[in-house]
Amino acid sequence: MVFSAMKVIIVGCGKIGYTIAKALAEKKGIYVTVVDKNPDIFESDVEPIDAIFIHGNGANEKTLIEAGAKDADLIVSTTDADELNVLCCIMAERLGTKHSIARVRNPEYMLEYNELWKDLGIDVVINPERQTAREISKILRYPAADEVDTFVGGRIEMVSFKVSETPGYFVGKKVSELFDRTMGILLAIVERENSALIPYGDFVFEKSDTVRILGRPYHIMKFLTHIKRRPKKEQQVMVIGGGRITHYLVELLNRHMMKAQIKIFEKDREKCEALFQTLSLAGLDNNCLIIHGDGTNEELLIAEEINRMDAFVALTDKDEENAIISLYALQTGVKKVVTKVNHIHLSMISNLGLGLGSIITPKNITANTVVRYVEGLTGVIGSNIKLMHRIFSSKDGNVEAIEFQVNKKAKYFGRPIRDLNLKKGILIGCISRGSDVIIPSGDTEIQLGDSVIIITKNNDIRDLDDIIAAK
Amino acid sequence: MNRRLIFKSIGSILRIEALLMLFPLVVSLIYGGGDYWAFLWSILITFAAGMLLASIKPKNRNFRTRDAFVVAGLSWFLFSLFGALPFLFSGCFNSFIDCVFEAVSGFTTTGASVLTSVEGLPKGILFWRSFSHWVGGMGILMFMMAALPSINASSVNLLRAESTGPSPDKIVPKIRQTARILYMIYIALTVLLIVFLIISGLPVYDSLINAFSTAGTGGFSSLNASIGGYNSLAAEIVITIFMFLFGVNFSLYFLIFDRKFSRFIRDAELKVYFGVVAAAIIIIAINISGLYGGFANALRHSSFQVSSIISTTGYATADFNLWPTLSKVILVFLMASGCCAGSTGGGIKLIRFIILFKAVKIELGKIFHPGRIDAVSINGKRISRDIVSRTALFFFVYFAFFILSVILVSIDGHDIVTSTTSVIASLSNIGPGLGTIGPAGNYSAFSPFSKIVLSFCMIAGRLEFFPVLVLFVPSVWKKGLIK
Repeated sequence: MVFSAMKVIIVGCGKIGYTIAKALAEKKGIYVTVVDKNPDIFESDVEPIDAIFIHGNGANEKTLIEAGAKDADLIVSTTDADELNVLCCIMAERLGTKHSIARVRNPEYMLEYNELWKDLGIDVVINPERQTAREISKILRYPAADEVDTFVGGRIEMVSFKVSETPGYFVGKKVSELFDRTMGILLAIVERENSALIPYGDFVFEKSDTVRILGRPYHIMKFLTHIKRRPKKEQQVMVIGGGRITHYLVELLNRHMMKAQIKIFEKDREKCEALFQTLSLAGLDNNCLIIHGDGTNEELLIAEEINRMDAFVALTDKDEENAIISLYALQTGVKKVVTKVNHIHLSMISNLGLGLGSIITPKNITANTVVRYVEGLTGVIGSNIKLMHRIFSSKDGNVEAIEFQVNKKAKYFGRPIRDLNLKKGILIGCISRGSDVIIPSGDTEIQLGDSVIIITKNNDIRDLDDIIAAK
Repeated sequence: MNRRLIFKSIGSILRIEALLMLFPLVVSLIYGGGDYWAFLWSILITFAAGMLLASIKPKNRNFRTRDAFVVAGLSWFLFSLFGALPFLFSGCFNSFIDCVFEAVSGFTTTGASVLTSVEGLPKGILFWRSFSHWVGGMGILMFMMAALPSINASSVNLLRAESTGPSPDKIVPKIRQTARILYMIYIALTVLLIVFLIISGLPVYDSLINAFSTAGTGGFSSLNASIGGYNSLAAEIVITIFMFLFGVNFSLYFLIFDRKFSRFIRDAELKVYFGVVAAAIIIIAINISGLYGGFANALRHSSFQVSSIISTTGYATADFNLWPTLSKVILVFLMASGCCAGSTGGGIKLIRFIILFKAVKIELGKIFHPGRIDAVSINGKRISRDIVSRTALFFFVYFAFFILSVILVSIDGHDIVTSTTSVIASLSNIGPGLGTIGPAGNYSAFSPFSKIVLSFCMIAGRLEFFPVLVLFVPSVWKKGLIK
């Protein structure tokens, strides 16, 4: 009871650090130690956290040891300084902490692959702005009713939709007629009458089915356009605020093949220039228009045809400004409105009943990522996987989608999947390897370092070895 | 003020008290003596009151600091009031005030008694007296935190309100686990003590009674002559050592458990505690050696007495009221100083002396180098100015309580020594003082008014004043006030 707890150190108790610490401390069996250089931060009487607080610099050896870095399971460094976060994680790792998460926000530090970070001893790099952009991108790309889950840090998505909305394409047809590997997507789960099924080739769709497909956002978007769930024409998006989130949003929308024309308003001239420069450097300036102007100026919004927009995103630094211009956008008839809220409590906004569309809170998005990672760590029992997400489970809980990362050699390496004696009710969904996402065929092999998504029915999968049937 | 939460918490505490009364009920059924009716009625009344209050549904379950302090203050008064019921129903006491005094003395681990003779009491009542020491020793809110599942992060304020010392804190990140670990250490040490006492020849019942009293650093015994009545050297040595041990900060025992021995040995307060005890034992032993015909015998009595007084237990093997002035003065100062923060003992706590000594040293340094920057640090950790000034305030409050109470008690017309030491012994939760209330005497001579004043001192001293003082803030009782 005392010693089986998972020990987590959180460095930096700002907005994000606090949210993470609070979320983790409320979980059973997790001991949270918070390190911050400001001693006053721990005096909060309103919302105390069930944790131990240590005053000091998280990259100081003594402070880290005092915080228990020698036998901690995880360190999450969330200070304002990227470099300090990286240093904290490296030091804690060398001292004996098993896993580490660093908050790194500068786009110039972003790497395409995580291997380099791993060499430095950092397991996960979280970028709140980028994650927020990813969430917004999800909201913009999919209809509100669709459930979207993400895997491998957002590289793979799983989307649900009802067959009844596009019956012409599905009803009465077999899986093998509609899906093939070259589409880059996989039909993962079909829900029929409150039970979830793993569909195989001769499965025939019915009108009441709900379908979940798995794949890269790009391929999913292409498929959804193909079956006419998405309009072919370009979407008009208006974004107020030209900060980092906007940069990542433009980048992601481009990559995910959301055909969009984006109008960006930013009232700070220098920020406009900077955004223009980074976007044109990345070759992303084709579809966007950066306007130096105040997004709270009604005349300007009308002049730029806010009423013709398909989506409106409020990303200024001021929560109240975001709320008000979002309400205005809704009133002018924009269908999809996304409002960023960072300082004001989410519950306060929702209790007001303003009728805002989608509200996003970067700190909560980041905290959820960390909590999910921690839940993955606590679930791990086998030795050849490093993290595991149980993302989806159906209503009766019998079908799950699980993400594994293979970090140790196993006996089935180097053998094609068709030769593996998989258990019944197991489907190898996607394999993420380096920058590739592979929809596996019989010839595909599982390799060291792969992230594997497995769809499983009626199995208790705790380890990658569990997918192989006992002989 | 979150009154609903406050009353609900008190309800939970009373329910726990009713359950704790089952132990003396069982004892009274085993040993006979006819006092089981007293316990049955008390359990029924306490449980009913507890259920009534606990059924309140608070809108917000977060303890703000003020709520936690009010809960701590009120719950100790009510806990003592309901704890007095078995005494009242047993008919062994002269008045209701006496019952309350005895119960307060029990839960605050004071061990001051109004009874002239305890040997004729039913076994159940005797057990409840000592068991109340054990319950109050580690704290009743702490027990609630360890036992109830509904404890959230804000309960850390309850811990701060009830625990002793200048900056009580958790030993592991989770509040509930902290409370459980502390209770586990407490239970383990108590069980160890019971075993040792049985080995050293005490009857099982007496071993239990004295183990509970020692663990809570209370001092109620089952004999009129206290531990001296057993005339057993082995039992005296065992109790001497354990009184000392229960005066140590319990979180230090967790360090041993956690294999951090060097931090245990280097703890500043522990070193001072050890030093003070050793010095006091030797000086008093030399001072009284004439009385007991030899140094060895004097050492036996002085070590027992020093350990008993500094840990604020209040057991006696000898009547130190008859000792020379030097010894008595040392004992009175040990009464005021008490032992370590975070132990079951009372008093001002040595750590506060250490903090202020260092603060004075820094102040001296500033006279020589006015611009000098310096800070108090203990065990390599910096002590914030807030804590230093709170510590200084604590001394003032202790002193103010002392003066006011001495004036009120002196209305009775007892001599100065009796009046002053009765207040010190109550504030520091010791029990026996000097004069009429020496180890051979008791508090029966005091008027009901003085007994109320002293009961108040005991609770104020146990909670280190502030949770009791907040009860005098008007906005606790009236809605809508801002002062």
